[in-house]
Amino acid sequence: MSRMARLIDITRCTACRGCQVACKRWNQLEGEIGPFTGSYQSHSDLSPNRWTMIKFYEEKKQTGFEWHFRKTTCLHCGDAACVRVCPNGALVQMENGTIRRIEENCVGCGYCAKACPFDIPKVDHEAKKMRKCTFCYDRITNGLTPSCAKTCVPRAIVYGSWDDMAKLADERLAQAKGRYPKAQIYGKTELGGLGVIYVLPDSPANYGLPIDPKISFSLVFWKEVVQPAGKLLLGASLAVTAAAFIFSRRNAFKQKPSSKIEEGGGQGHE
Amino acid sequence: MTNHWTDFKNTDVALICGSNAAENHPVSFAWLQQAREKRGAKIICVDPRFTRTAARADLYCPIRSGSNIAFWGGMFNYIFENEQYHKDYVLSYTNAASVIKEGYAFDENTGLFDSFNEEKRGYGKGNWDYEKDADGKVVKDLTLRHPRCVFQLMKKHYSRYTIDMVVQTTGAPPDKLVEVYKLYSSTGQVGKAGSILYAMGQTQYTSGSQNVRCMAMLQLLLGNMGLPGGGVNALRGHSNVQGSTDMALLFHLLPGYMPAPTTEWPTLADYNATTPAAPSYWSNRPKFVASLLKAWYGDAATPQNQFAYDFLPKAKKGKNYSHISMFEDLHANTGIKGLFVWGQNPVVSGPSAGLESKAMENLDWLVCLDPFENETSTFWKRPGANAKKINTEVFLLPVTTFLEKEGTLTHSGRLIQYRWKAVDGPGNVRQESYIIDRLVKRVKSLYAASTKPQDLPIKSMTWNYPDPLVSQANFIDAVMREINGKDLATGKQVPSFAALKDDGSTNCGNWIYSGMYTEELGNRTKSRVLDDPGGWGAHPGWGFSWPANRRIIYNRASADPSGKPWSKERAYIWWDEAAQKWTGYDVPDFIGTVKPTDPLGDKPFIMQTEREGRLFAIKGLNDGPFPEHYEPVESPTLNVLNKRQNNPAAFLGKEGGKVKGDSEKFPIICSTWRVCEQFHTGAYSRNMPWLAELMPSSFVEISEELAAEKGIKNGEVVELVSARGTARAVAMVTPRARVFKLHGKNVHQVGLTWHFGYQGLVKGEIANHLTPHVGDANTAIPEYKAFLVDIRRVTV
Amino acid sequence: MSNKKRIMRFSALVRVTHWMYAISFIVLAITGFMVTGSALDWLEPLFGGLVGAMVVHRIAAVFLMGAIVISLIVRPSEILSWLKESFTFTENDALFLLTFPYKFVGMKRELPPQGFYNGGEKINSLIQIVSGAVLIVSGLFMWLAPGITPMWVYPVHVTFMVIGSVGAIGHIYLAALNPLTNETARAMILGDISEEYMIENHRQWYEEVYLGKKKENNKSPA
Repeated sequence: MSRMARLIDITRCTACRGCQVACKRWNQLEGEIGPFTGSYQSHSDLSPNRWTMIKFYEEKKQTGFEWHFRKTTCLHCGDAACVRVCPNGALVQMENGTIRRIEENCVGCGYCAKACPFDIPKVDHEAKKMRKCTFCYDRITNGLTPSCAKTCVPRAIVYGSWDDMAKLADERLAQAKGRYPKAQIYGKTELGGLGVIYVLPDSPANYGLPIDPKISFSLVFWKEVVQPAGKLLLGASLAVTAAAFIFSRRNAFKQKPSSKIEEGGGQGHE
Repeated sequence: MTNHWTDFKNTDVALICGSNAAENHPVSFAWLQQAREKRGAKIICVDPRFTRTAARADLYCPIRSGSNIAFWGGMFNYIFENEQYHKDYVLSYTNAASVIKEGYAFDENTGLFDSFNEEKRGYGKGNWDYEKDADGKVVKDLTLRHPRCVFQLMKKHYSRYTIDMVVQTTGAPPDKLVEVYKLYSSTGQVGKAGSILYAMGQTQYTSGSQNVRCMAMLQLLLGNMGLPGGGVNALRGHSNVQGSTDMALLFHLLPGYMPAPTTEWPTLADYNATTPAAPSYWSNRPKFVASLLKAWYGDAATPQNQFAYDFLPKAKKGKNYSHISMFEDLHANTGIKGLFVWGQNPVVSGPSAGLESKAMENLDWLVCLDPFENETSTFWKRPGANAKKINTEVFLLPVTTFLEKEGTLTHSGRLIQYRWKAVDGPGNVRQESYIIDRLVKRVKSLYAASTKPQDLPIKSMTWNYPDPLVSQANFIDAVMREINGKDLATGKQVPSFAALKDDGSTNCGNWIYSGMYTEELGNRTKSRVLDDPGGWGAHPGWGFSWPANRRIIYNRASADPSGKPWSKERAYIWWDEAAQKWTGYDVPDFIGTVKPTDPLGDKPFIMQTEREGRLFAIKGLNDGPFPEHYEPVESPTLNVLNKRQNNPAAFLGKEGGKVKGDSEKFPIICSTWRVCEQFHTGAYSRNMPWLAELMPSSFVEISEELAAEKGIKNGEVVELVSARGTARAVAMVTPRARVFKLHGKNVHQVGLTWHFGYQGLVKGEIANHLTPHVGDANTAIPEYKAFLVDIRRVTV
Repeated sequence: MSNKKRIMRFSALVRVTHWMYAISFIVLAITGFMVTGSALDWLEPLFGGLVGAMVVHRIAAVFLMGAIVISLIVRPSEILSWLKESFTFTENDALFLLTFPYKFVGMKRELPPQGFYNGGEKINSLIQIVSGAVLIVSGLFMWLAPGITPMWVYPVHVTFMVIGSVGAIGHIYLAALNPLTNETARAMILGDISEEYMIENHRQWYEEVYLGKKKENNKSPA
C-alpha cells in the first residue's frame, strides 16, 4: 500500500465535531465530561481518550472577524520525532505512512510526547501507555476510509493516496484563496511530508501549528551521536579492561615465579 | 421546502437568514459547498451574532433579533429602486398586475391596515381582495402603473424602508447591508437562481408568518420560485417534524394541510363551502376530505351521513387551541385533567417554562412516552417543586429510539424515506406503534357496548391493522397502504391523489402522500435508485417526494409562459411540442397535457384560485396582506417604521401578554438557539457521554463590551432575568456577540441555548424560564427569539 | 610470607556508603541502558519488563542519593576531606599518571610518593563526583518534572552515564582484578589493608600522616 494521507481543509470545516465523535465511536474511547472551557472547544487538549478534536480560533483581522476550526490529530510525519525517540520500538512507520503504536512495547515513558513538535502523543500514566490517532490503521488496511474522513459532511477531511491529497490540496488552495487571500498549504514539505496536509486560511502560527517544524537538535544529537558513541565507548572499555586483565595476570606471573624460585620452593604455578 | 437539500448545489447565491445552517443542519453545507465549487456560488449569512455559519459564509451581516421584516423590507425597496426584479416573471406569474379594491389602505401613522377592530384585535379583511370587473374577472394593469395594482402598492409600502431606516432599526452596518441586498438581488437576472434557507430565526416571532411571507414575496420578485437552486427553504428542526406537520399533528389542521373543522362549519357541506375555488387545485379538496373520512371511519362513513363528518371533534369557533392556550388553560385549571406527552419535553422546551411546569401540577395524570426519564416526566421533583403537594399520577412509558424502529421519515425537502430498524431496543422499551395499537384497542373495547351517540366515533373508528407486536413491519405496511389510499371497490392502491373521489369510493389517509405506495411500484419510499438525469440532484428514483414525487414544486415556473425554460442554464421543465406534454428532469407540477397556450397553461401557481404567486396576500394573514415591521412584544426600542409598537394581531393568550418586561428593567435583547452537539432538550444528547462532553454546560454568549460593563469574566456563572423568571448559565465572552446601535441608542444582545435541564449527565438551568408566553398572530408559535432580559454576575 | 602489618584504611561509614553507591550505580547503569539501547533488552524479564526496569531505576536512584545524604549527615568531615583531596592535584599525582598505563597492564613501576588517594584514584573520584552530580540533577528533572525538562537534558544524562560507567569499569578492574591493586578490594570490604601496600603505593601519606600520628600517639601515655 503506497503512502496514504488525509487532506484537512479547514476553510470548509463547520466544527460539527462529527469527526471527534466518530473517532471515539470507532475506537470505543470513553467520554470525558469536563468543566466548561470558555469556548465551544470541548477540552483544552487531546488526551489518552481523545485522539482528535477541533480547536477553535477567533481572529480579529483588518479585513473583518474570522472564526476558524482546526482538527488536531496525529500528523503521521514522514520523519517522525516520536519514532526516533522511542526507546523501546513502540512506534514504527508503516509502509502506508501510519505511525503505528506497538502496544506491547509501549511503557508510557513519555519521550514521544516530549519529542513531538505538535504535542500529540498523550500518556495514560496509570496504564503506562501512550495513545494517539492510529490513522484508523485497522480500517485503511482493509480498504475502508478512516472514520473521521468518512463522517465529514462538507468534505473538509478527505482520504486518499499522499500524491492525490497533495494534488487536491493545490486545487483546494486555489478555491480557498478567493475568500482567504493568505491561504496556504501545510504538510507537503514539512518533516519529510506529513500524513496530514492542511489547507489553512492564514499562517500556521494562527492555528497553533509550528512554522517549519524540525526534529530538535538534541534529539538528533542523542540518537545519532551520543548513543552510538556511548555504545562504542562502553564496548571499548570492556574490551580494554578484559585485555588489560589478561596482560596484567601474565605480567604478574612473570614477576612472581622468580621470587618463588629464590625462596626455594617448587610450587610456583597459578 | 419548496425545493430540497440536494438542490442547494444548484444555487448561485444562498441567503441564510434566521438559520444557523452550518451549525444545526451540517449536511446543508455539503451541498452549498458543492455550489461554491462547481458554480462559484456565494453564501450570505444574516444573523445577530457571528455563528459557525457566518464563519463559513462569504458575506456576513448582523441584524438584531426582531428586525427581520425591516431587513426584508429594505431588500424589497432596494429591488424596486434598482429594478432588480425579474420583470417578465413578475408580470406573468404573480399578482403584481392585479388591482386591489379601493377600500384597502395602510396608515403608517397608526401602523394599521384598513378595517382593524381594536377590541377583537383582528382585521376585517374584505378589502384585501382584487377589484373585479362587471364579469367578475380580476382587473389587471399589465403596464404595472395603476396606483392600486399590487406592484405599485408594494413599491409604495416598502418605500419607507430606506437603507438608513433599516440600519437604524436593525443595527446592521450600512455597507454590509447594501452588499447583501446587491448580491442577493443579482439572482433576479435570468439564468441566475438564489435560494433562501431559514429556520426558527424567522418563525419564532409574533410576526413569524409575515417573516416567511417576505421570503416568498422576495423569491417571486426575483423569479426564483420553481427553479433549481431557488425556492423558499425551511430547514426543519427535527428529522421527521415535516412528517408530523404533513400528518397534521397540529391543532388547526387535518392531514394534508386541510383546515380542521370548527363549530363554524357544522356540516360537511359548510366545510366544503370554504373550499378554494377552481381553478385552484385546492378545489379538489372535497375528494381528499371524503377519502380521509373513509380511511378513518370505513363503512361507517357513507355519502348519506356526510361520511361521518359528525364524528370529527369540532374546535370552538374563535377559540385558540395552541400550545400556549393549552397551558394557560391548564394553569387556570379549567378542565384539562390528563395529558399525554409523546416524545416532547415541555418543561424544558415550552415558553415560560416555569409557568408551564407549574401548570402541570394541576393534572390528575400524566403519561410520558420517551426513551429517557426527562424533565417533563420528573416535573414533580424539579428544583423548587414540593412533591408532597402535587397529586399528579405520572406514567413513564419507555419507548424505542429512532434506531430501534422502522417506518418512514419525511425530511425538510418533502422526501419520504423508509427507515429500517438497526437494533432492538434494550430492556422493556416498546415500539410506539405497539403502544398506540393497544391503546386504541383498549379504548375501543371499553366503549364497545355503549349506545351513546357521542361514543359512536370511537366505536366506528377503523383499526384493522396487523398486530405490531407480531410484526412492526407489517403494521407499518398496512398503515402506509391506507395513507396512500385505495380504490375501495377493487381494493387496489390508488396511483395518486388525482384518482381520489368525493363519492366514498376511495379512501386515503393523507392526500399529499398519495402515490407513495402504488400497485405498479410498490412502496416507493423504500426505493434507492441514484440516477440523476440532468444532474440537478432530483434523483427521482430515491424515495418518494410529495406531492406526486415532485422534487421542486411550482416547477412550471422554471419555464416562461410559452413553455421554454427561462434560460438554457436552468432548463428544468419545458413543454415538448412533439410529444405534446410537459417534460424535463422532474415530475411537472402541472397537468401534463395542458399546453402553454391553453387557458391557464401559463399559470404555474396551481394552489391559488388565480393561479398566481401572491405578492399581496388576498384576505391574507391575520396581520396584513403585506408584511410590516412591528417590534417584538418585548423590545428595547420604539417602532419607527410606523407608530404601532407591536403586531396588532399578535397572539397574547389570555394572560401571556400581561407578563411583559419593560426595557428600563430589562434593557438587553435575548434570544435562544441551538448548537450542533446537543439536540433539543438534551434527552438524548445530554445522556450520551460523547455528546455531553462536547458541550457540558449551558452558556450565554455575551459581547466583550457588555462583559466589560458588567465586570463579567469569561467562564464565570451569570444569571439572566426576565419578567418571567431566571436562568443561570456560564458566560462566554466573545467578539462574536455585539452591540447594536438602534436609533442612536446602544443596545446589547445576548443569547443562549435551550438544551439544558436538570436531568442527564450534564445539567443546566432551563433557558425557557425567560421566554414569553406570546406568539405569532397566525400560528401562535411562541416568540422565543426576541425578548428582554437583564444580566448579572452570580457571586457564589 | 604472611605476618604483614595491617592498617585501617576505610571506615565503616565509607565502606557502607561506597557499596550503597556502587551497587545502586550498577543497577542504574543496567536499567538505564535497558531503556536507551537494545543490547540489554534480554534482561527485561528479570525486572518485570521495561516498566519494571524503570521502577527499579528510580528506586536505585533513591539509594544512590541516599548514600550521599547518609555520608554527609553521619561524618561530613570524612567526605569533605575526601572531596578536598580529590580536587587537589599535585605534581606527584601528575607523575603517577605517567606510570598508570603500565600499572594498568600489571607492570610494576616506580611510583612517586602518593597521598591517601593516588592520582588515579583522584581522577576516578572526580569522574564519579561530576558524573554523579549531573546524573542526579538531570535524572531528578526527568523523573519529577518532565514537562519543563528540555530535550537536551536527555542526551546529557546518557552521556554522563557512559562516562560514569566507563570510569566504573576501569575502577572495578583495578580494584578487584588487577594483581597490582586488587588488594584494595578487601580494604573496601573489611576496612584494612597491608602496611606494605600503603608504603609502596601511598608513601607520602604513610610517612607524613600515618607515622606522624604514631609519633604523636607515642608521645602521649598509652
